[in-house]
Amino acid sequence: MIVMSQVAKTYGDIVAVDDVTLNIRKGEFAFLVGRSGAGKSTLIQLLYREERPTKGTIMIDEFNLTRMRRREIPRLRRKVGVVFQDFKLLASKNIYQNIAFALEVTGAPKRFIQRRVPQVLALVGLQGRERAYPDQLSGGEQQRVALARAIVNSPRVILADEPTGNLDRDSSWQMMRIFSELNKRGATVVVATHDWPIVDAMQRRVIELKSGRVIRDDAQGGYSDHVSSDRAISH
Amino acid sequence: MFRLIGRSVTEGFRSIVAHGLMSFAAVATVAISLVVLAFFLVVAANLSYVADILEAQVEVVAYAHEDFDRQWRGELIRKVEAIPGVGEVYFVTREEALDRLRAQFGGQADLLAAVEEDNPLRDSVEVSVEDPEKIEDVSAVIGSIDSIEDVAYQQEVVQRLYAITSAIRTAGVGLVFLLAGATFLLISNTIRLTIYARRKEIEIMRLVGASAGFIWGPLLVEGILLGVIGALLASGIVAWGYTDLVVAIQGSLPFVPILNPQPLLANLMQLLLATGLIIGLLSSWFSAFRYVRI
Repeated sequence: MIVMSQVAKTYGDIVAVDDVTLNIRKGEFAFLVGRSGAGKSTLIQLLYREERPTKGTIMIDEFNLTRMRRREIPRLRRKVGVVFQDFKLLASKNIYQNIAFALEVTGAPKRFIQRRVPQVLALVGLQGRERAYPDQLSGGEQQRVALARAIVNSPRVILADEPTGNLDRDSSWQMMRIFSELNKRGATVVVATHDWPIVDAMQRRVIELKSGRVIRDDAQGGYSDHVSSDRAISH
Repeated sequence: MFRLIGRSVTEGFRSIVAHGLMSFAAVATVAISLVVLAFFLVVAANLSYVADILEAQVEVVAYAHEDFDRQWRGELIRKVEAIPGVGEVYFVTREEALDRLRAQFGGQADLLAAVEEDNPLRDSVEVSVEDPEKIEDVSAVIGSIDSIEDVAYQQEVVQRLYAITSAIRTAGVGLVFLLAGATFLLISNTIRLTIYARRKEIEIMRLVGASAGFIWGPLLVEGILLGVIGALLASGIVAWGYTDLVVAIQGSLPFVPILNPQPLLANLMQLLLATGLIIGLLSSWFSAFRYVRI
């Protein structure tokens, strides 16, 4: 359960997020849409405590992100998986090592890691690719490795910031199918995206931001209220 | 916990090797700074050693009046010997004093020429004092004897020597603080380089919930290692140099007092290692704190 109450984030004079109040229930799937600079990325960053709100309160389950001490942050990050547009994989490590890394930092026993990594690789459709290196994989495959790493600690919340920004159609849809599958298994999923065909097709909750404010929050909706020609221009 | 330490040490070592040149510069700076520190401490320790020796053999020299009659010589010696706290008493005639002067300044004939014609020296009594601390009282009593005109003792020399020792110590510590500053900058810069080289890995570590210890551990280990390796190098240089110096001096100038290498070097090495470790830890902690957000 994610609860944001009158949250604002400013950088000097620049207002990135302005008076946002949101409730995202456990097990919900929500898209975060809006133009570049609307505040989507900042909102995601606030949710994994990369940024601290200037005003307001943010709660994720038992974590109060506004009042959280620095040394409590790692515990939150193990419960919140994050995926980015640029994958953020380590080129010097193979797929297995990249994913195992997220378990090693938690001090998980080696035997558990050896059992767990193949499981998540299977979940993202990359079983048997443990020994490959990131640069031997396609963009779509790399993003699925990144997702596998994000979920290896069984997080309750999965955040994605433009996860399909660098992917082709097929790979994008594949990612969405995995997000849906994880959501079906109980994870709360929040995806910030520009990818309007996907948002339109999935018909999930859509939260639209403009200048840091929520201007639309549909329980089931498409990328935009506007007509498709306007959408094409804004895109 | 054990695994965390093991990993930190491995990663720390790897990083030092990866930044060969920078690590070398940092280690060299640590070593140079610590050698300078050791140099000052060794000089100060030896000066204070010399001062101790001098203090232990303090003598009072009592000069008789110019017209002192030598027939009272035995009387004077007895009077001095009767003073409590007085050890040996030795009467020096003005001729003997001149002989000593000749021996001391043998090379400088013109300097002596003026003295030779008309010996300006006086008869004197050299008195050793059993307890150096009582030297002032003893010399006051000696000074009150009729035939004695003037009393001099080496307390001033000793005090001056102690003053020099403490000045050298202070100067050494001051210089070492400056060098410690340079060392601090170099090590923290090396660590900064590591942070930069591993920024992606650190970003991911933060993202997947690594604790501060997990991220900082290797950085602190790297800093400590740089400091300790530098200190070991400095210890080696100092130990080798000082031992050689002592052997050389004892061989050719046996009358020059110099401290034995042990336990001086053992204490010095402990100090150098501790200093290297602390500088390494502080400077890497500084960089980690400053450049790695959790």
